[in-house]
Amino acid sequence: MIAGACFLILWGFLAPEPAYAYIDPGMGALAWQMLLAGVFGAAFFIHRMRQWIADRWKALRSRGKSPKDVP
Amino acid sequence: MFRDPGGKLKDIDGRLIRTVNKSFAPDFRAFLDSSTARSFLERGRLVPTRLLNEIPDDPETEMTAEHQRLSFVSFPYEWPPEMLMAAGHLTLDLAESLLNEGMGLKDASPYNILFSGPKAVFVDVLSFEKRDARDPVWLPYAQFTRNFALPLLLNKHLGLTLNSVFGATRDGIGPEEAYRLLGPMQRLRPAFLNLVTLPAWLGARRGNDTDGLYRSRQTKDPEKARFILRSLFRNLRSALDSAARNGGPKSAWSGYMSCHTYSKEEFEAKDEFVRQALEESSPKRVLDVGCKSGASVVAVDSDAAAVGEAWRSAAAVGLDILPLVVDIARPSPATGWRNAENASFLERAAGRFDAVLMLAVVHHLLVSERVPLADILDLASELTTDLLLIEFVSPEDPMFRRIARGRDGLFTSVTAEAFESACGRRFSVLRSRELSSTRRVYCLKKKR
Repeated sequence: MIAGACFLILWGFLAPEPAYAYIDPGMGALAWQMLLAGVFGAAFFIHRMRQWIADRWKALRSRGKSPKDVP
Repeated sequence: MFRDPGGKLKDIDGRLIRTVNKSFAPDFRAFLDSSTARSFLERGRLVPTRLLNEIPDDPETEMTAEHQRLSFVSFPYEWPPEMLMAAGHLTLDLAESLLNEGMGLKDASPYNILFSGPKAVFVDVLSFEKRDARDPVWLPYAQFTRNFALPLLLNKHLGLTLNSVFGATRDGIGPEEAYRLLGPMQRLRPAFLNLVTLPAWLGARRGNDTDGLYRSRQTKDPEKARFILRSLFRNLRSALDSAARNGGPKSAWSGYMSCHTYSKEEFEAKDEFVRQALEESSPKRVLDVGCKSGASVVAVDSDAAAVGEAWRSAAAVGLDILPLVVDIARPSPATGWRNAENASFLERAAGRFDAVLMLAVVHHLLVSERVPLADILDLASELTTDLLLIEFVSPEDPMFRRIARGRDGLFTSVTAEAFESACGRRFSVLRSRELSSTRRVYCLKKKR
């Protein structure tokens, strides 16, 4: 993400800004929202992975405890 | 309201009646049945709405409802930044709360919100729709940034007033316009990078290629779509919070209560006079022009910092005070389509108040605005239906001399006798009290 942001910043500074007769005022914000959605989607994947690992870990630990260990 | 294809809002014999068109009725009903609507209603954050049995003779209309009328209508160009921020938070709270109920907010305009005292109330109940559970995009995102986040950020960092944003345009300020106002280093600050710089660059690079952008997108998992939207709302909430000022902005009037030219005794005498006059007449609605005292229902002042301070105090203790940024010398004009969409301040205020307070304000109108005394009293008599509490400050007063800036010769005709004679045209004096040798406060009753 950091590399992507650096690229965009560099791109914004180096590339000349094109002029248009009409620019949809919501287009840039929507495009940015799409990029943010991609980042949040990746965060969701990580969130799910952590949940999955936590569940597996819990299952492994409960399987490790045999019934005779229970007082 | 005429813009909304979902229905119309009409004022019928003083009742606010909303008609809902056939194609929008299911969404309207689903919203009213939602637990979000119930919870926001209970907390006074949604306008009370009652479904009616009467259906007008119109083939398009399927439902009618009546809304509770709020005591005074105000618009974003009359709000201090604190109120716009409260409105922004209410918008995000509603959008997020509805996510779990399969509904969404289809627009994010500050005109969807009014204030009841200092409390933000969502009034546009046709702004809700059932949403695709797998859609991770909030289309009003751009509108939200234009109308809430960017005006607040620019107000904080560049001092751009909300009046200059919303007085000039209906739909706030976009990233492209904000980008032009910022310097090269400001564009790289995290708050602006997120809301201005990157959206402006992306918009410019895409040019007119909008086809791909606006096609609908779906995630495979509805939970993922909700996670993305919740994260987006969190991102917008922190953008709003980053625009908050620490301890409020400073202005020429923001420490007025601690640095005015009254002695403690004079101030207490004035306070007692006003309190007594208001207690005796028990007015239902009061307009306080020059809200340095913040002691009324609708309090107006041209200074956004003073108004913001009054709003914070009223909100903190739940007082029924609506402070607005209105310069009484050039009040908000009628705006919008055919100048009939948003009524002017004077149109909304005239004859709406039982008592009007003009304390420590007349000399500012006389000197700084050069408005003749008779015209000031004409305006006061249009605003009040009964009482006028007004303070006379003579040209010898230190504050008068400070704002006259050496032009004392212009105000030789301003005497207590001339003031009382001008008042006599439209009001009769119930009582008056001398606060000091240069100040006197009057309780006047409007002549019928």
